Amino acid sequence: MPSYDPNAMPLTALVNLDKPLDFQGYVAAGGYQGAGKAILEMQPSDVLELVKDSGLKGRGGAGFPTGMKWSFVPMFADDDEHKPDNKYLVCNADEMEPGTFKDRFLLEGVPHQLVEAMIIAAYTINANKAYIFLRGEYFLCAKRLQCAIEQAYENGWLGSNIQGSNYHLDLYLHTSAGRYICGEETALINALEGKRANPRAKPPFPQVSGLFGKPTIVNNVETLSNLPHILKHGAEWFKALSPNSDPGTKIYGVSGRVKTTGLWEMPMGMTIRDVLYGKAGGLQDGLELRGFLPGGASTDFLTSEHLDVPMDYDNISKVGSRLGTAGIIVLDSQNCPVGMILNLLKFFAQESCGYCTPCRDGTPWVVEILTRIENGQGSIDDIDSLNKLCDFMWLGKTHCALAPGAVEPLRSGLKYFQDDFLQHIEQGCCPLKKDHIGVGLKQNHLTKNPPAAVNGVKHE
Amino acid sequence: MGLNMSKVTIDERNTINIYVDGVKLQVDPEDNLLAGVLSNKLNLPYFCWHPSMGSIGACRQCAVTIFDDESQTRGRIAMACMTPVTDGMYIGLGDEYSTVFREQVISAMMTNHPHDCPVCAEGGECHLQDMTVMTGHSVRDYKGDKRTFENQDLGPYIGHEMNRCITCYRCVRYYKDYAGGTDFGVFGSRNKVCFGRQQDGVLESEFSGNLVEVCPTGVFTDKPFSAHYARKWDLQSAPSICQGCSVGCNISIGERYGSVRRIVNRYNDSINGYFLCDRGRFGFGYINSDDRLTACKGIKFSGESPSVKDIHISLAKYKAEKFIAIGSSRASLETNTALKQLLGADNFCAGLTQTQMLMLQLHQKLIKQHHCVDIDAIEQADFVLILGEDVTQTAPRIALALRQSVRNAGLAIADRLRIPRWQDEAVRTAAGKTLSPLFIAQVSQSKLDDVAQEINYSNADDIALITQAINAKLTAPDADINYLEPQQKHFVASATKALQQAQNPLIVSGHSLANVQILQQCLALAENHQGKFGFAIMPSSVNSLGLASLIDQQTLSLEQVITQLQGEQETSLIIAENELSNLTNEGQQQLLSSAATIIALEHSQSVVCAHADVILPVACFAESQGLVVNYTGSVQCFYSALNAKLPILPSWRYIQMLDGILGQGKLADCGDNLNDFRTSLSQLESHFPDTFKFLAEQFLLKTARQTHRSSGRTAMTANQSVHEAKTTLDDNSPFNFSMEGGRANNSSAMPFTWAPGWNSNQSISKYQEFVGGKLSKSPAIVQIFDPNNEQDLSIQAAINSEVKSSDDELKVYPAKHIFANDYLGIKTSEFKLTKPIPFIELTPNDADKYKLVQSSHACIVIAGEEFTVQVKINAAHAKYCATLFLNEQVLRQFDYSSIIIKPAISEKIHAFDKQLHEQIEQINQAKQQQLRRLKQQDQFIPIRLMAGGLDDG
Repeated sequence: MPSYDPNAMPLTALVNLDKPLDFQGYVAAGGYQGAGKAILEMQPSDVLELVKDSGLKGRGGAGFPTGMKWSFVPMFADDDEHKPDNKYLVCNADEMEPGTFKDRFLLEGVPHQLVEAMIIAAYTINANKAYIFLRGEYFLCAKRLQCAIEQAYENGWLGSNIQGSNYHLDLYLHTSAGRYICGEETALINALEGKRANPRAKPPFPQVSGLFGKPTIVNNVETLSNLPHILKHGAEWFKALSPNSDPGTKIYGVSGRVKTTGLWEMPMGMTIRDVLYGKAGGLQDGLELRGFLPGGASTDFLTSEHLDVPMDYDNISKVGSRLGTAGIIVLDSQNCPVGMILNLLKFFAQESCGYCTPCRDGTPWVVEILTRIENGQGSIDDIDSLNKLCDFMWLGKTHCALAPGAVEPLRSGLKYFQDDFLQHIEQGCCPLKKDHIGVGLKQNHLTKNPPAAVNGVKHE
Repeated sequence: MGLNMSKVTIDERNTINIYVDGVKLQVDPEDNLLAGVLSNKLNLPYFCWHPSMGSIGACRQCAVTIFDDESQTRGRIAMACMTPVTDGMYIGLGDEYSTVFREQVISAMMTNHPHDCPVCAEGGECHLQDMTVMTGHSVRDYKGDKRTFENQDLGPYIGHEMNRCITCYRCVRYYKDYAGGTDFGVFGSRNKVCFGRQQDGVLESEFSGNLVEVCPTGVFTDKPFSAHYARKWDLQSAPSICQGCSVGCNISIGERYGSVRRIVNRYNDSINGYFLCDRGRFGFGYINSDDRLTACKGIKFSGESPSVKDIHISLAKYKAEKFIAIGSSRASLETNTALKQLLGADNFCAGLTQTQMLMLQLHQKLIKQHHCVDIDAIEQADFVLILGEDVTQTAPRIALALRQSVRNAGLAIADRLRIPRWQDEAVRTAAGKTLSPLFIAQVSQSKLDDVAQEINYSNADDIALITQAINAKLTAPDADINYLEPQQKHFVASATKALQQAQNPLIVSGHSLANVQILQQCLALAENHQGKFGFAIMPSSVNSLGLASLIDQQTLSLEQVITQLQGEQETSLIIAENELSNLTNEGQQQLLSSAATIIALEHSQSVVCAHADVILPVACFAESQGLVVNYTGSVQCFYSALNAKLPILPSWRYIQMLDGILGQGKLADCGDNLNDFRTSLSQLESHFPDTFKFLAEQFLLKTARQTHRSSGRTAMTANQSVHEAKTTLDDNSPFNFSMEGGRANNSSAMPFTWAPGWNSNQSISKYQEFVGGKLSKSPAIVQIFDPNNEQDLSIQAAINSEVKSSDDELKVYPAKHIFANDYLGIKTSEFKLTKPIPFIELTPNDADKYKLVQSSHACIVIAGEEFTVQVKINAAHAKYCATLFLNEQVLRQFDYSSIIIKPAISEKIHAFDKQLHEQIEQINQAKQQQLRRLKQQDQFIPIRLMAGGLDDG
């Protein structure tokens, strides 16, 4: 195992939230060296090999190897009659995963880093137009990014003949009208085209037919932000940042009732305990850890037994969850798991694009059941219904990953917090709200296990 | 049909094997799994997929289990519609995994679907009902509230009930993507997605009625049908041919209690596929109208209808008179042929002007000697040149096909990216805005302009010049075309260039500009470049070409008839189903007032009836059987959906009766059997035997016009008598007026579409060789024009290679509009409400000349008649030209050479506006009154239905 520096923070080293580095400051701090190296000294294929070698994986949640993703973009000879008018690079900055705020941190803190990264990525896939698709509510990011883009144009890092390389790139900032589904790369592409933000069927993948039907790569902010450093320091350096097989660093976030909420860049593969207790200081006094979502709202619950699992793609998957965005959301002993899951599912039902049936009609159905359970009007049959709905909305059955993502906290919640669900049903109210709400057994008695039919007339 | 794939028969398809629940099936490797499974006549529920529109994977209903191999027991779920078939794949259809999931999909859709089937117009033919039963979903688990929407008023044709929506996206994909509509969309998100217009208003698309059939449930319903509603299983239906234009779309007419209730599409892969236009679907108002002629005039008879003897007695006084018979392009081939035989070829007038006859002969020559194509070929054209014909208004179904043809260049891109054609959204994304070249030379704007590469606005003569120039340029690139204006030259140059690169170029034109030169130039183009082009030339009426086949050297034009009438010998007329709208007011008067006696065979009030001495009320197409010939020369048969109430009889029966006293006696002795009559005709007209052969084959086993579960036979008359009524006999067709009978011998002549478990129109896939393909057991299409028979071609005018250049005098063309092209269609109340308000359209320069300003009113004087019209000024219009729309243009022609145009004075404008409001009021009142009358009629079953037909004593 190569030695690694637990304090290495290439992504966030230059972050300054109060006053991010302007162009000169960024260059003075070593910025644009990676981009310069790529477009002036390397062929696109060399850059691609380097990124493949580095083992960089997508930081948007799915963890797909970035180099491999790029390698699916068809490269055309100049005289190829079918050469498309354009290829596109799109940065997915539509950060709407609950509990996740790492991209905002990078965009507000070091906007030039993303601009530089996009030059590298666009050059590699031979794209001459690039878009940053930014979450609409990130006003400060938009301001700072726009400023960085303008500075890059002024200093010959964007536009035609970049730094005398004959390569040209136009970079546009697009602020989203705001839907969670726009974070799905093909929905994002549709939104960028001005269409409804419905995910597309795959295949064809965006690399073949993406934005405006042309070859397109969509990468997350954090993924891209690694590129200047990989270009500057090489693949071996990048691999050495991490103690295990997932290379590089990761920005981990913690929200919930911990002592210190926030973001920390750490080598990939630190344990959950390192993050939750080492950085966030553990739970606030008097609270116990009931569970947590390791990588945003659409990941399965883990519990205290998983604290020593390394936070990387493979190891988190092995224990039944996903690294996701590595934005940990903590559930403490004073919060109701059913209520939390209901809250999450309300979000997913609200954000469903309405395209496919399981998601469109399944998520509100779950909300309806959870609402009744949380209000003490659930029945034991509802648990069965919830399990069936989890199955109904699972991977492969839906058009995109939104509904399966919504299912993850639900199905793991049903597993880890089964007692809480049963208590709601048996006690006819939320155990944590027992003292506050006048919901009693009496009301529950009427709705508990309703007969299937009365005089042959089925209940609606 | 659909997806612009080339048409093949089932035998020509390549197939690979797949295994469904262990059973080996053959499927087309280019299909998706759903299409493959359905083509094998297996049941797999689906919603969002449509054979003409492909797959999008939204509804998730067609899920199957895919196994890696035979031995695997736990496969993975995949949507069949989004899965390409691969050789040797194993899929599970009846396995528990996919079966449970499919039921879950329905139960999720049902969480919000209202339980209003009893009052839903879709009930009984609802694809959602069928699929729900098919998945086995029957118990409702969802305990929450349903989401609700507010509905929109989408105009007089389409009802809107959004609560029933299951969000399959078919409507918007059809309306926007397929039909090119712009005023319809999808709004909202999550489980509050709704489909409709941005705000209330009449749907603008000429094809909006297809929403009713495309929607798998009752969101979009047929409003006129709903107003006078019957369940599908209570309808008596017949296969028929739309009479709205010359395309001859196949339709199914639904009747109950003596009134026609609705028209729906009847699948025909080469003529109309899955779609109709709104003229065809909604334009049957005249059949039920108060304008129908229901009594004889000038014939004395006892009983229900006149007998041959009655006719003899009443008409004896006319026996010595010289008669001329005038036929019609809207009457059947039998009627026209019989008329020709009745008084002899030299006393037969086709009811056409000299120009119209010449155009039909040119058209006939084009069909015989060159390549006139059906919509399947139109959809595959990779270059289209439209010459003067606004097909969206005159032959709408062709416009819909052309809209598919422009996709071919985009489809080629998708093909290169190896995106299967059925993957609709991906194909459209990859294609982007790439369109195959469509060039339009026209007088004024049309609805296809949005997909055209270049448009030239020229008058009709110039369009002929342009055609000539393209011909010249194709023959010799350096040909001199300097007689054209710069824009026209540019148009010719770019069209020629695109043409030279095309593999399947198509020329579209028609008769609506009444310009012989355009057709002559089309013919010249065809002759100079043999076999290069496909042609789609649109005549004016449903049977124009049937009539054309009867025209010979002796056939009289309307002008000749007028001359004869005004000559010394007193002459009388027999006019069959012709309102003389091919004549001007003056011509009509000359013709009608000069005739000694007029015998009219007609079904609806017209100017002819007002002058007629004898009126014989004849059956309209819904009540009779006959042949019509469409724009490609294909002969098609329409069948009666109901029997008309006596004394209304089919035209041919009355002609046959007349033959005994006024005619030459050739028709009288062939009995009252239509087939015998046809046989007699075929012996008299040389091209008939082939035409009728295919009809005789259908008589082996009779088919029921009513559904097998029709409540008609057992309950429909129970308020009058509990005894079962004797059914009306029908010796003339392969159909019974009852629910008894077998399946249609061939799938192309089914009264209605139904299959076990499939009550909706989606059942048609059970009768196709493969989904979206040809109908199984369908006979070959009969062509009326034998390409090998040169003799009966009698082109009177040689092709004139020198086109006359036009002068700068203002030329006026009547505006065509889908709802206002013929005097029958416009009898439909809804059409009266949605047809254009009278207008004149011209360029800013020309408007200046007449001191007209935008949105003002103009006063038009034609031959002493004065009209007030709205003014539309549009730079996108041919110069020195005006397009004029007058309400009266469906009734007669105008001699525009004497036109005077000036701004209207304010009194006239007030009168115009007042009249407009009054008209709308009147139309609405008449509509309500007619509805009341029909509903009243429903209470008293027509005697004919009870009495058992003509021969029931």
